[in-house]
Amino acid sequence: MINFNKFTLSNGLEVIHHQDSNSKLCVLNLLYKVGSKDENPNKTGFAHLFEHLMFGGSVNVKEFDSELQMVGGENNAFTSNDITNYYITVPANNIETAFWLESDRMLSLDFNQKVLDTQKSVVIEEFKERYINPPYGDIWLKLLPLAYKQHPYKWPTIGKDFSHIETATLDDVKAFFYGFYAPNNAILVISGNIDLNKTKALAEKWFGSIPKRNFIKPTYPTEPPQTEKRTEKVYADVPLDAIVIGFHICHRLHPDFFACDMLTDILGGGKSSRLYNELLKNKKIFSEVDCYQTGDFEPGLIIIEGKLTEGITHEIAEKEVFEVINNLIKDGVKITEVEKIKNKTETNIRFNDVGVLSKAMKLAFATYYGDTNLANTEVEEYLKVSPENIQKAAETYLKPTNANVLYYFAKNATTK
Amino acid sequence: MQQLNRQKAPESTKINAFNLPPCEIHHSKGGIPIYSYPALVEQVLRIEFVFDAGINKQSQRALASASNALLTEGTSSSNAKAIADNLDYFGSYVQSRCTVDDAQLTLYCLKKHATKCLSIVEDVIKNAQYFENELDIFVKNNKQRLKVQQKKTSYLCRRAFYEEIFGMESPIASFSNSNDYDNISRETLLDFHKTNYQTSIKYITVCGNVDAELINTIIAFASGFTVKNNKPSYKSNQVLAKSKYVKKENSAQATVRIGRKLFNRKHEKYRKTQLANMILGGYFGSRLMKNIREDKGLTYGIYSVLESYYDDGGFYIEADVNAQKSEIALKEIKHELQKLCTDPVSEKELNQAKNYFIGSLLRSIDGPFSIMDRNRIIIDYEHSMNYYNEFFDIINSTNGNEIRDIFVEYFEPEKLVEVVCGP
Repeated sequence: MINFNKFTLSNGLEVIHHQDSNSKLCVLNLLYKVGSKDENPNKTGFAHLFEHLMFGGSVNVKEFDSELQMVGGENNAFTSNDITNYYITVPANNIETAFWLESDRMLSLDFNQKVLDTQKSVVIEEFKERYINPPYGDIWLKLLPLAYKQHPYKWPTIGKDFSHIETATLDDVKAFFYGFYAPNNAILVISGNIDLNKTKALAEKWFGSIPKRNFIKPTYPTEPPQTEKRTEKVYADVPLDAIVIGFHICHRLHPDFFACDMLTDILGGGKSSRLYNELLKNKKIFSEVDCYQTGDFEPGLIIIEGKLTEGITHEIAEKEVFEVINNLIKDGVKITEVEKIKNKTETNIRFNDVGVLSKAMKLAFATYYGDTNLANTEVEEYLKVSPENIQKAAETYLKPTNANVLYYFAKNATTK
Repeated sequence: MQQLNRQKAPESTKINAFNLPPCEIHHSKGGIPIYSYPALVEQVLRIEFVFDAGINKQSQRALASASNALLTEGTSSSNAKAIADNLDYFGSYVQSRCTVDDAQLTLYCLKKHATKCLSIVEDVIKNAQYFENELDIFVKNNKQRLKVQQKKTSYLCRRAFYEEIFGMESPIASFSNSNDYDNISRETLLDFHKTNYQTSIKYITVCGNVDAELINTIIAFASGFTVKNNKPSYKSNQVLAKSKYVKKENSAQATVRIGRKLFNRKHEKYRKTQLANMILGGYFGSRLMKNIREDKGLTYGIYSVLESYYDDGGFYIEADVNAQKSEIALKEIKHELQKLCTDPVSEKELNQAKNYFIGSLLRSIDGPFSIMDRNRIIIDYEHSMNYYNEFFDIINSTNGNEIRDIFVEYFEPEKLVEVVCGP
């Protein structure tokens, strides 16, 4: 159970406070409701590039990082399809430094050309390190545009292409800042060894005077329902053939979401799961196989991916995957299988509730989803799911007409 | 109302001590140490079973890791699926891990299921069977995985670097090749298991929602085993500096690693050297990050690391860099090293690194599991219980000249081995 208090400043900033007197630390977590889904389709990767620029100096503070390091603090950030999240951990006595630094960059940035130029190069190296250089690194660059035709989830957070990052200008940076970075588009969580009164006083002191900004609440094109299977072949410098299948699912707040999440555990969550036992252990179709959901706020995907054993064709692997799915739809899920996933989920959630940073992020995400208390009630949502719910979710979402399939061909195999 | 001055940093407090909460020690009848750290957390427990079965104990490559990974793949009474089903049914997780110095099984579970989970773990430790069919799957899939690794510049570079500085015979450089997997037989596994797992444990740790009853349960569990903790000896000779280029066609980036063999945690200068390393490449405000990433934009990340093993140690700088500009990156890295060998670091830079270092120690003991991890360093290296409590004074008293002297003695560019893997 994560106890919390909640209040809103007059400029619209939502503030969540959680006190943990056993910790020597305090966390300031600031979530901005802007992600890659808010990007111009011709300037993709921008939300993430912008995240890098947030460390390049703000209007009153030249060096964000060194001021924080000087008081023993550490910080980082990440960008997803939906949000950009910044977090600072400091020894509890020095939490005011975090308020000072984080509020100044909400007020305004330094907008420095040299910082922009350098961070463009850094992000391009990140693009290569994570999406180009490693084998299979480009899965998301291939799968997302296959699965999404309208919705902005069709490009990955890193962007479609280097060129989008290379052409970003300071004017783009300013427009993005004033378009999305504002107290009334953010959620502040303070978690750790700090009481409510101090949290209120510091929040008011540092964030209270930052003006509300007017902007249009974004809407996103709805992805039209998929009506037939899509398949794409990829020839790449990879050592093994592989298959990746993405199925459209519901959005995060839909009643089916928890059943979908548990469905992925039954299919691919570890050594007792169905795909692992039936296709890796028994039939030896795959040397690695996994199943998970993308965890997006808007309708996301269930992914099944596997590396093929030598001699197995993509067609056979795909047929076998659908056989496992169809058996689940036909025969249902055993009550013991569901009990197992519920127990695992409970253990997972309890272990995650141990550190002040993970509690802060959990509260921030729950607030973003629309109800801070979801951080506590989520367990019950999983416990409510029945075997029938999971069977129904498989029937609704894991059908061939909803599948987006990538066949990865190892290069040497194509030259045969 | 007073105008808010945003130009000026708010008041802050210097951290003036660092104390690692100690763990409790119990012993089984057979002398197996059981380290416990009880904490006011919800119903969770983490129990680690540590075995003297690390890579340093293997007679052939891949044997230690195979015997560790296959522990849970079948016993005389349960097959792999039944073991996985049972553990999962109680919502528990068992992870296996094999390192140079030891091997372990870690059980994560809810307290209410602890007894049932412990009996599964006991069966696995005592009765693992290493069935042929499970071994075949393991061998085949690991050979496939190795093919994927061999396509990564980071893997190829790391491997070449360790082989270069520790030598092929060192357990630290014991990378498996495809035929090493083929050479593992059920008999060698059963034999390794008999010697290193079946009847003996190095030590056990337990943390989370621990009470006296649980400690008694663990003591009873351990009574079926004897203690085995044979100190390994594998220190290799210093390799003279040289450079090596590993070609990887068409790679978009080059991985560079520069470093050397060095002392380990037991050395009296280790903690001061950790501070020196922090300044060079140990955090975001380091010289290497500021130059290679934040000024030149040549990489997404560059860092330097001190690596400690029970009987050896190493130091390296690593980055994935723009393949066309790897020469510039190397030149700049050496330039930063040279500067640290020549000029003492400023008070401001030194204080920033010290404060960050102490702050990072505080962060590293947030929660019972991380407190136990820190205590394990004391246990594994036979340090005094004050090892971490002395940290603050040692770090705080280090001056700029001492940092420069450490660089001159150990990190002059010409003393370092350089490995690049790129197009």
